[in-house]
This record gives sequence, structure tokens and C-alpha cells, in this order.
Amino acid sequence: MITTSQHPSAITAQVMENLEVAPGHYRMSLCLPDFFDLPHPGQFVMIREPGREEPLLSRPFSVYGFRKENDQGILDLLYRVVGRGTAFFSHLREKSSVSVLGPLGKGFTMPTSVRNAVLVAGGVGVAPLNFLLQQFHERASDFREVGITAYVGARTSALLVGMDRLEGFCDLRVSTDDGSLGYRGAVTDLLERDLGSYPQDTTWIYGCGPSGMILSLSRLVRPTSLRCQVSLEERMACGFGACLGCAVKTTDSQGVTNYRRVCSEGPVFDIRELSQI
Amino acid sequence: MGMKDNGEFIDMRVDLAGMELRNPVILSSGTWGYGVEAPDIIEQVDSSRLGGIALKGIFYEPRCGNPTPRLAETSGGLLNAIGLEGVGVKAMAEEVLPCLHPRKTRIFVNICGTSREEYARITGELVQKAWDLFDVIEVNISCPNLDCGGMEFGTDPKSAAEVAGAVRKAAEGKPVFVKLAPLVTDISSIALAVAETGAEGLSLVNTYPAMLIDLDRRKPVLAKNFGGLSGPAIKPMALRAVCLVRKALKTHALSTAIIGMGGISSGRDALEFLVAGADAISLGTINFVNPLAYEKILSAMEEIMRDRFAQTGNPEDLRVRFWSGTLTLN
Repeated sequence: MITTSQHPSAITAQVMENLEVAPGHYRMSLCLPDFFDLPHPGQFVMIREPGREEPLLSRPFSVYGFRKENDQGILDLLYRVVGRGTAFFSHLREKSSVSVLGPLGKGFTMPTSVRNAVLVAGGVGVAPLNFLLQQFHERASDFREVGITAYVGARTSALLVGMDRLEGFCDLRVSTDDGSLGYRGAVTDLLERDLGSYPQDTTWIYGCGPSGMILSLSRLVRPTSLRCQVSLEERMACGFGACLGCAVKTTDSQGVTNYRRVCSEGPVFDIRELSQI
Repeated sequence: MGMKDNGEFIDMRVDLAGMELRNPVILSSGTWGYGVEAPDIIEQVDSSRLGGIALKGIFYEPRCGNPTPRLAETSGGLLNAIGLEGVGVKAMAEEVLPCLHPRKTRIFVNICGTSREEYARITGELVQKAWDLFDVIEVNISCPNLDCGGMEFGTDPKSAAEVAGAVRKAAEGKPVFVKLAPLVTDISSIALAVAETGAEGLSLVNTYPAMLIDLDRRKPVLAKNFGGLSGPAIKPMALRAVCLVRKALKTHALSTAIIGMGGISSGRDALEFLVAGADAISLGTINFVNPLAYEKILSAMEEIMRDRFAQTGNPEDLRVRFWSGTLTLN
């Protein structure tokens, strides 16, 4: 079973591409030195423009893709412009430098006993699940028998991002709030219709998306014995466990409530541990 | 001692209240967890390059901290209301400090309490159970994010001195540094009251109480409404506090040590704090921006010192301790 073992480094990377792939959504590819460890799906990196004093802090982005090419690592990120930080990033051009800290955090669990991997993504939350899918395929010797189904939702068809890396690589089910493509309604409603067909002991559900989606997913999964992990998003200052800013309330199996750090004890949590969800 | 330059050595060692630090760069409490996080996570981080680390503050008992959001970025700064989530003194003495042993740098244990007695009790336990595992007790009487305790002791000279006195008595000779709140009527009078208890040093300054508003929701951004502001935005104010306190101490013939902090982000910032009267400096928010900032700041300090020496030919310019308190006021 693989969760995390990677050693993060602080490095300077070069932007290879920063493309608007959907309105307000960008895919950025960064060229990294060879020693940058292969991230585990669900891990993230902290990104900042070196020398720029505003915005002050780095921003966290989950890994969307990673590959080795000519002794270099190519790291793909998929992001939506939501504030000052992401607005700055959207203006980065080819060959710009960015500071990268990572890979950070604990990723998704990929047990070799899994037979059905169900990915549930809302909007740009598709990014880490895309990388998870890629890793299931790349580690084919361990995961030959895994059937992968992806449930992907967005507000409207134009905002369905990352589809090019899903189509043909898994059984794909799509929903849009406005019905412009696929099922009309929430992605979790789409999942609900199929949920009974997944064997409870060999199915793992992996989710990432807005808090409303995580909440609905929790309501669906809690009455079952299906395993479910979700990747969370929080405001972060450091990204490596020092500032305690990105806390999330959790309750363990003994009923003990505590705050845990999204950056270092997460961003991936068992959905049943999350107290507020 | 550092790199050779035209036959002269850069000497970054400083004396802090009788302790030698290999260099004047310390990491501020709350910005480096319990001293194990970053070095453990990021291999490039090397604690043995630091003058010291102040660990995340503790109360007597473990604490959960504040609800979220706990953080918000501002122009040139960071607003936080973490609320001193911490492991408590038992875990500090029995788990955290033994983990850092043998220590690669000076360890400051930062403590907080809701009463004078709590501060003294924490100190007593540390001294009794972990005497060999740390160097300094840093007394936080300036956290703006607590419902009770913290800053209430740091805004009045009398109660500040009472806490400092109680800790000093319990510390049995371990150096005591008191971390002061900056947003007070007269920081010098509080600093003097603390210094007169015999406390070995002052940490100047903690964060400035502040807030941010989400205009669309007409609600504060932080769950606790208010927080503490840190980062480059507060540097000029923190510098003033260090300058005023050093001046007041001098006037009263007190040689209490000062650790200067508040938005230091460059070698130049660091040297400005030393010149203003600090004996060492501490990095906070910049650690979040770049966990290797201390390396960058140390080399930038050395470069400025070498440049200065090249101009003046004065060997004291290559010894960082001689930069302290050299400011001439107009």
C-alpha cells in the first residue's frame, strides 16, 4: 500500500506552457530538475513567483500530471482563477520562473486489493483524480484488475476540464448543472443511481470538489461500508505543517475530536473522519 | 565564523544574554512548528545553520486552537488567529524536546498562560523534566488571539512584570525572554518593568492586532473576527519598537538582550534590526514564503557586511555583533 514517501524540495522551475483550457481555467506545465521526486496522487505543490513581493505567500495546487522527459520532470497543474494569487499565475508566460516547494502532503491510498476505483470530481477538483487515474494505469502490474469509473461534474459543459485525460482511460460519466452535457444535476446524484452496483468490500471512492459536493458524497457514503477518501482545500501559509493555519476538524474512530492540518496530515482524508461534513 | 575574505573572517557569532549563538538568525515561535516539521519534511533545511528556533507556544494543557478560517493574506502581510493550538507542557517535555536532542541549535520554549500561576507551573515542569533539552524560556504575554490569557498580561507594565517575575523565579537560572505586544500605549515602560525583574531578554515584537473584512458577506474574514498581523507590512513599526526599547534600556543602564522581529525578509532588514538595538533577530512570516529564507538572509547579511568592510576597512564591520545598537538618532 502506498500513501507517501516522497521528499519535498524547494526549487526553481520554468514555465513550459500556461494555457487557458476553459473560461478562467488554466493548465500550467512546469519543467523541474531531475531530482524532483515523483509525486503520489493527491499530493500538492506550493507555487510562488520568485522575487515578487505581492502576493506574499505561495499558493497550493494539487498535482494534475507528472512525467519524466529527457532527464527532467514535467509537472502539470490545473487551476481556476479565484483570487489574487491565481490571477497572477494566469499571466505567467513561457520561460517564466516559479518557485516550487513539493511534493507535499499525504495522497490517496492505492491498495492493491481495490477492484473498483470510483473517482468523483467537481469542477477543477478533477485535477488530482486525473493524476490518480494516470498512476493506476502506470502501475499496471499492481492494478491490472482495477475497473475505474469517473463521475465528473461542472456547472456547464464549457467548464468541464481535464476531459482529454479521462476519455478512453476510464468509464466516464458526466453531469452538468444546466444539462448542457450528460446528466442534468449534481455529480453525486449521478453517482447515487449507480452506488448499489459497486461491491462494498473492494470499491474505493476518491473525491475532490467544492465543499457542497464533499458534503453530498459524505451523505451517500456514510450509510454504506464503501471506503471513501477526499482531497480537501484550505487556505495555507506554509504548506509543510509549521503554521497550523489550514486546520480541519476531524473525529477518529474512538470519537476523539481534533484539528488536523490539511497540508501535512492531508490534503487527503477518509471522509468519515471529517467532523463538519 | 564564516568565509574567508581577503584574509579577514566574517564572524556571525553573537552573544545573547551570555549565550553564544552561531549566528543572530532565530526562527520565530509559531512559524516552525515544534522544530521538527520543516527539517523533517524538506531535506534542504538544516537547523544546524541557525542561531536558534523558538518552538510553537504551549499552555499547561494541550489546546485545540481556534476555528477556521485562521489565516488571511493582506497587502504585504499575513493575518492569523491560530489560537495557540499546542501539545501542552507534558508532551513538550517528554516527547517534543527529547526528539530534538541532541539539539543542533539553541531551543527556545515558548510558553503562554491564563494566569501568573500557569506560567510559573509550565516553567517549573520544563525545568524539572527537561532542563538539559532547551536553552531559553520565551514568555508569550502578547498573543492577540486568545479569549483569556496572552495579551492581557502584556499591555500593562505591572502585570507584565508579575508574570516575568514568576517565571524567572521558577526558571532557576534558565534564561527568560519575554515577548511583548507592540500595540500598547508605551512599549518602553512595559519593557523596563520586565527588564527590572531581571529577565534576561525581550522578544520584540509579537503580531499587531488587526482584521480583514469580506465586503460581499459583510463579515470578518477570520472565524475569530480579529487576528495578529505579521510580515513585511509591520517591519517599520517593529523596528521603531526595538529602537525605543533599546534607548529606554540604555537610559536606565540596563543591558537586557533584545531579539528583534517583525516582517524581516532580507539581509538588509535583519541588519537594520541589529543596528536599531537588537542582539539577534528572528524570522517569522518569511519562513512560510520560503522555508529556506534563513539561508538567503544569512548570505545576504554576510554580503552586506563584506561590502561595508570593503568601504571602511574597519574589521568590526565583519563581526556582526558590532553592528548591534550602532544607530545614531537625529
